[in-house]
Amino acid sequence: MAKYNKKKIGELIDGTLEFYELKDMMSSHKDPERFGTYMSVLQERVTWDDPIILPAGLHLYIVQKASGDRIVKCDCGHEFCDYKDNWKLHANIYVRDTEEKMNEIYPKLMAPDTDWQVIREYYCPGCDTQLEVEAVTPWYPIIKDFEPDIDTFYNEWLKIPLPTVKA
Amino acid sequence: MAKSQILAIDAGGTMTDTFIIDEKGEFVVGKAQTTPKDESIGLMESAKDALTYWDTTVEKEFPSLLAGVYSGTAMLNRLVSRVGQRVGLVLNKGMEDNHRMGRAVQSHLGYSYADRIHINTHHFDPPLVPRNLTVGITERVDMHGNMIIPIYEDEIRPAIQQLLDRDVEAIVISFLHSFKYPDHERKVRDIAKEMVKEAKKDIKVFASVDYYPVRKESHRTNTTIVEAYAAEPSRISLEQIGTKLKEVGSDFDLRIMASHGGTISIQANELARTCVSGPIGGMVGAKYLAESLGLPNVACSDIGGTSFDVGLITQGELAIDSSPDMARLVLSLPLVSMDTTGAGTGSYVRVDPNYGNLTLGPDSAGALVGVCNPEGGIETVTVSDCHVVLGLINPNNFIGGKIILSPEKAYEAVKTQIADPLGLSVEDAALGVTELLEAQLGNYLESMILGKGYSPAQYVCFSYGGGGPLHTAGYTKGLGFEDVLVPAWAAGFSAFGCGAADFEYRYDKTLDLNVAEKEDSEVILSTGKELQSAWDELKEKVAEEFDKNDHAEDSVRFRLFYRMQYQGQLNDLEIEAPFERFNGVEDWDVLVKTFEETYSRVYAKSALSPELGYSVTGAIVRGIVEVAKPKIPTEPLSGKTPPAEAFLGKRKVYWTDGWIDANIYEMEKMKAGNVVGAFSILESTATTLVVPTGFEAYLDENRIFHLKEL
Amino acid sequence: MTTKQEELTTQIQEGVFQQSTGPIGWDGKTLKQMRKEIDEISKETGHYAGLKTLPFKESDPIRFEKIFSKLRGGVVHARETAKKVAASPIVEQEGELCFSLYTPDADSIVTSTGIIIHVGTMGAAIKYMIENDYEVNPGIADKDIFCNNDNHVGNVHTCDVHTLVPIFWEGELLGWVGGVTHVIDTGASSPGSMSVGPVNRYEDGYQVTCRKIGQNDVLSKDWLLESTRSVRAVKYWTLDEKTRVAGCHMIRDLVLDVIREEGPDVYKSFIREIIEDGRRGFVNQVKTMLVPGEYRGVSFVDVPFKDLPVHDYAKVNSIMHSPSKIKVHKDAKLEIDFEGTNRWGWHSFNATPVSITSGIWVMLSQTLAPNDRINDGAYYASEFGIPLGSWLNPDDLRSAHANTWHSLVAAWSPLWRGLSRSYFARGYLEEVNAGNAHTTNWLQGGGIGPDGELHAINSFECAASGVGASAVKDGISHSAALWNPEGDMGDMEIWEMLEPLVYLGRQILPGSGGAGKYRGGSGWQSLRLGWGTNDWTMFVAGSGHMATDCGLMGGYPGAAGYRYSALDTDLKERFAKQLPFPQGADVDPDNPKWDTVIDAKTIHRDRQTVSTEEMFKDYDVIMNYLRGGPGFGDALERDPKNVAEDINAGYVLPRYAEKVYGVAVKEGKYGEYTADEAKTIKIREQIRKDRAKRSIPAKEWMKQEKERILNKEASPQVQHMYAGSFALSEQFTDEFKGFWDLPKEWMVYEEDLDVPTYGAHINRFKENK
Repeated sequence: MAKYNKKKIGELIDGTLEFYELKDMMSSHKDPERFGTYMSVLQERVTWDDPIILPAGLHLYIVQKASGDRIVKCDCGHEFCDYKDNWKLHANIYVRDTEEKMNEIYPKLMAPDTDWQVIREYYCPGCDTQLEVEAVTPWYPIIKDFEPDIDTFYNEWLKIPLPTVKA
Repeated sequence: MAKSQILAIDAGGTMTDTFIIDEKGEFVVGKAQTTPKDESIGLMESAKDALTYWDTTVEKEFPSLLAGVYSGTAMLNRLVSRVGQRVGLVLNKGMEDNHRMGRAVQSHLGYSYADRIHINTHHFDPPLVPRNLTVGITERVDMHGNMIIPIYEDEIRPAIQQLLDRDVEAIVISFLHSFKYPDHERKVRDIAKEMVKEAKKDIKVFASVDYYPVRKESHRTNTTIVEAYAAEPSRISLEQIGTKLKEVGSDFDLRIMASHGGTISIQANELARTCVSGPIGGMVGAKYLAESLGLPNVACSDIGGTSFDVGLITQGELAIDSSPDMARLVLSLPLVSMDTTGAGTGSYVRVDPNYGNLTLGPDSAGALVGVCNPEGGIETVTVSDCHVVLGLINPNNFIGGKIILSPEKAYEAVKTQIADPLGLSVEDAALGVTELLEAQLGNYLESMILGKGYSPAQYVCFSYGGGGPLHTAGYTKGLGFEDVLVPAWAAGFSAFGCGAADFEYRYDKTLDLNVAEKEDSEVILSTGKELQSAWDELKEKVAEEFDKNDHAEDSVRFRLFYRMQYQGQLNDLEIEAPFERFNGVEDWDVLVKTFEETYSRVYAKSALSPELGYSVTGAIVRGIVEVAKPKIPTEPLSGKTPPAEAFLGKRKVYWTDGWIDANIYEMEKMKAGNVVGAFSILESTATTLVVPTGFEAYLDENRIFHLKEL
Repeated sequence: MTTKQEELTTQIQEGVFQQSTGPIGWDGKTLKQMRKEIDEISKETGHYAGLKTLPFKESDPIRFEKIFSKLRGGVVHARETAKKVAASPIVEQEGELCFSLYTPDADSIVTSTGIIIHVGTMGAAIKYMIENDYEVNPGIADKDIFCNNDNHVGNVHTCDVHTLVPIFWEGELLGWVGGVTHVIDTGASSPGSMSVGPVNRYEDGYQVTCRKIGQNDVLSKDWLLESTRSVRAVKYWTLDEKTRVAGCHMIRDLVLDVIREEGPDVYKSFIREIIEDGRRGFVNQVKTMLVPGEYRGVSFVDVPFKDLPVHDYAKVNSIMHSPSKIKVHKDAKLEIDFEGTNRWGWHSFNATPVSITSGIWVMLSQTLAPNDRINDGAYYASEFGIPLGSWLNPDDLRSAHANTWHSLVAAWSPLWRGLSRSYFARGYLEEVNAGNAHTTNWLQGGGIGPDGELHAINSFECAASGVGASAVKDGISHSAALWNPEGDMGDMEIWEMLEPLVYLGRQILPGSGGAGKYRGGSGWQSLRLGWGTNDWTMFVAGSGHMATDCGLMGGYPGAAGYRYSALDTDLKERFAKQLPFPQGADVDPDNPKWDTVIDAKTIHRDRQTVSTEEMFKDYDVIMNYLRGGPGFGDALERDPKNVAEDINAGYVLPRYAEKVYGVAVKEGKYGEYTADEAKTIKIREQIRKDRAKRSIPAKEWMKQEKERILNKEASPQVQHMYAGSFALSEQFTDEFKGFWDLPKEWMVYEEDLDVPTYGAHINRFKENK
């Protein structure tokens, strides 16, 4: 069974692994230790010490607060909302709804026609990173991408204790 | 008194092996480090080493050599590691990206099934020619050779100049359908040569039509590039070897093993086809052995550390794949067709954590053997580990004791990784792995033969290669082969094959001759005429090649082949023309009849479709010149009972009936005529023949074991 | 008092029906009884065939595995051998064929490589025969041959033609083998296998409903005559059928061989256990790879039919709306719910439930379970919500399906992103994939072929589309399609043998892959010149006004599509005078070079990327645009060196380096670009500032958008899409209105939109309005 140390998982996160290394990883059965190693690397890398419960996207984490709350937090430190809420509702948004705005991203005719579809960009209010993009028709409700069942995941699937805030 | 007759060289990436074969067919093997800069140095060292076994010298022996054949991996390595010449590529304008787009298939060629469907694993190797060394010139010709767009003259020089400015070391030109209309490629070729001269540079120019005048642009272009990128550099090192051999008094033209199963001269026009290694030698050796033994149909099987290679000899012919892939490239070389599956003695054995099933390979520990090899650093169980657990291989005499294996490590690994998860005892797990491997190889062998429209009963099975004989009984069991043969000299078989290869050129040409089911004689005659002129053209090409080695045309034995299919199909069959010249309508009927016999055999009668009419899609000429070949060893028959000195004692082996005492023999010491029953293990330094329950083995006067299922 | 079924059974036993072959199931049961029992016990126990344990596998895992590898190896080998019979490059070169082995009651045991979407479609056909008592009439006998391609029986689209052969052992049916090929033409109202133009079943092509076409291994003359007179490109139809029959017979022999070796009882327990084994394996796979919870996504594809020459009731601009929710349950059951999908329509892009429940495995086996164990076990481990009346499940026999992939490739794209969020959360970054491109264009047409016979073509170059980016590397370019990961763009000289179109270009298209930290795989274009045409027509089918995928975690969608063709051109003269003309790709549509080097009566350069037959002559040109994949992550985080490299390699236009990636580049002597790292840092800082300036809090924006909704400010097609979803789904309506907090009376009704509502049946407003 494959097994990777923190250095290797760090390189995976950085996208610096050689292709043949990635290929080996993909062709092998998944390594059971992956989640633990991954989490410890991520935790070391963030500048704050709220324990990470689950990565929620590039730059985004569901973290444990002393209060018992589980909130979505950007690695820049910005805190969005409870993880059951949709973090996008608490982000900044920019909508590409004209041909000009579309043309900044795509050559003519290669962008969606704004009578049919718009592109919505969601930025972190803390660091202005583009965290998510939606390509939807006008009027479309903001999509709630992901709502994990954290307790089942830890208690029943991984059978490991949830991270807790160090007193 | 010098006795050396044949020299066979197998130059691997790290070691160069030489096999020197005497007039009795006995041979010695020498080893030395490969010397990439000048391969002749390593070769000479290796030959010296070999001849020490006959305590004689290169100087004494080489003058008596009748023939020498080289087979090496240098060219393939150059290709795989992308360290070939800096090639400039000329394509149709507008299609400059086509080469690097790798036809999409090159992103998953050579992958296991699991990876082929696992999209994130797909990957293009860097193109042989980068985009910035590719230029386009406007011209278009259609599939019939009609000009649609004339070549835009004023684009030629600037395009070539651009390549010269970027210091290319070779130039390849490939236009669409050029094999139907060569003029445009040749025009560019000639102008390029001119400009190279003007620029006082030494750059060779390759027009695809001068090399591979066959359909499929992606294959043709790749192959012509390989010619310039990897093959041309080899010419130099081969010439170095040639000269060195002459220096030490040898007097023969060095020949090189080529993909079509023959050997060609180092002056050959198309050298890219020598970009092959290992397995082919075995197939060629098998063909030679089959001829000598008078066997028309032979199934060849070779198990190495990493793979199982099977190939068929049918009616005395090796099957040829005319657009194979090699090194993850689609090519248009004629390649001895062989199926390879990633299951060898070094293959990793795993239990899928989610599906709970046993998986073998496709990856393997190769030369590192397995967990049982204390120096190997391998952690995953391999097939060899299971052999150690079962007692099939002697841990203290592996490769003649070069590596001392640890049964304890093997046992522990098989237990934790395989036996416990499957809920089996360690021995049963190890036996299970062996049985599963052998079952898979057996299915593979059988389906290949059925796929050709035959049944195993019509074939004799040859088994050779380091790992083969250990499993031969297992994977031939129940298939009902006519006979199962294991040469006692199995280990050196591929080198033996090199030595046994014909001096043979093979050239192909694509044709499109359509004839309806019921066609009037004019059409048939003109078709025949075109086919014959293609054959004549190719005969000339072959004759020219032999001429380079002063073999007059009348000393060449020519064989004519044609490719035929039903109109509109995309797969044709290659068949030998049962006559020497196309004379009339009745010859056409012969061609059709021969085709349909083969076709209904391969694809079942229900697939015959004469109503569609026929297409002759290709002409092939093969020219052969007689050369010296190694003798098949012979020795007088002695009694059934092996001599006492051959018996090494007994060893505990785990088999279907539990632990039993197996008789161990030393293969080399056995005498022709000896018969051994189950359970016996015949050991030699490089291979192990297992005679399991339900089998017996008989050694004939050619030192070939016949494995008989009782 | 006996039930109908019991009556029928006794009648069968008494052999009152002339064709009746009697009950051929196990232990004297009818197939219908077997099917019923399997469904009941599987449902009740949660284990396929009620197998709580796997006695055979557990007691003798090696023998079990030996049987599996023999069957699996044989099925794969049969495909490899049989496909050489075909003439169609779609089958021979693109590998669009598949063989599968079934239980007597139609559950799939093992499947070959290839278009494995058909594990379930052929099963559906067998189930249909069982439902309709084929044992009674027309009878199911040893050496019979059946054929099906009826969409409404559960096919993907008309061109996927199935050959089905029963496998008997001593009078008992031990299973079925099915073979399917994608046939290049099946006689639709316009040529080609995935035509645009048919808007109802009766234009959708020749449909064969589970018909017995042969006995004693021989095809009947009446079948051969009728079928070959019902399609174009007869040669392909014929050789494809021979391919399927040959393959089925090879596999039948293999199975009989296994039964001879192992005995029928061992075989019977094997085929039950291997399916339950597949179910368990898949469940474990889900537990290893995913995180329990809910994943939502949506995708769209445009159906611009308003100005197409189709029946008036079909002249509608509409959008196919595909919302999906993946629910990974506590017990690792995988549920995929398409609630909210809008109404089916009068176009050939509708789908059938089976093409989803079966087709989903084409996609899942590329990422979640890439192994050779996929069989109906995986189906028993999953659950689907497919609303009746939606385009995934039309409630009208008249619906057309010829080009169902137009919508399927869109509908599946969000599923990649859902799974990828799981992979990302668990640290399997190498498995993340931002989604599939709209794997089109389908360049199709037909007319009279070189041999004087009716001919049809469908270029499969889109089998080499761009792939979505992962979380650790760019998506691979020009290499694969959702429906077949083993992509092959085909050899140009081979395509030119079959199509009266010669190549003027094959070139990577800059900007076609979605931008991001990791770029989506690039698409490309090929340009074709009419040559040797005879009574010829061409048309295109792809996405145009909309991106059908979406970037992931900050990446952008792959580019939308457009079409280009030029008719009645001056190319003949240009060639003669050696003047410039369109070549390669339409590299920068903002500054189109092609249009400056060609004179033509008609030039189509627009978003009408689904078109109907248009006459096409020699020296006309048409472009084939193969789409790119979506990107991953914020483009400002891309390594500047890679951006410069992208320009040099033709994946990105220079001006977008700064606009999209915030990278400053400079051009060198040979036109090669390098990145200025220092400047780049400044530019990127500035872009972040601009983002802060131009964006507003989502909650603010929602107030503005709500106003637009209240004022019904949206194009007709957008409103039509919502109306179609509202009419079918109360849940979607409530979620929509709840999200925007709309007044009770607010609604959009199809009949208020001044577009035809012909064929709209299910409508939950009919009564309460």
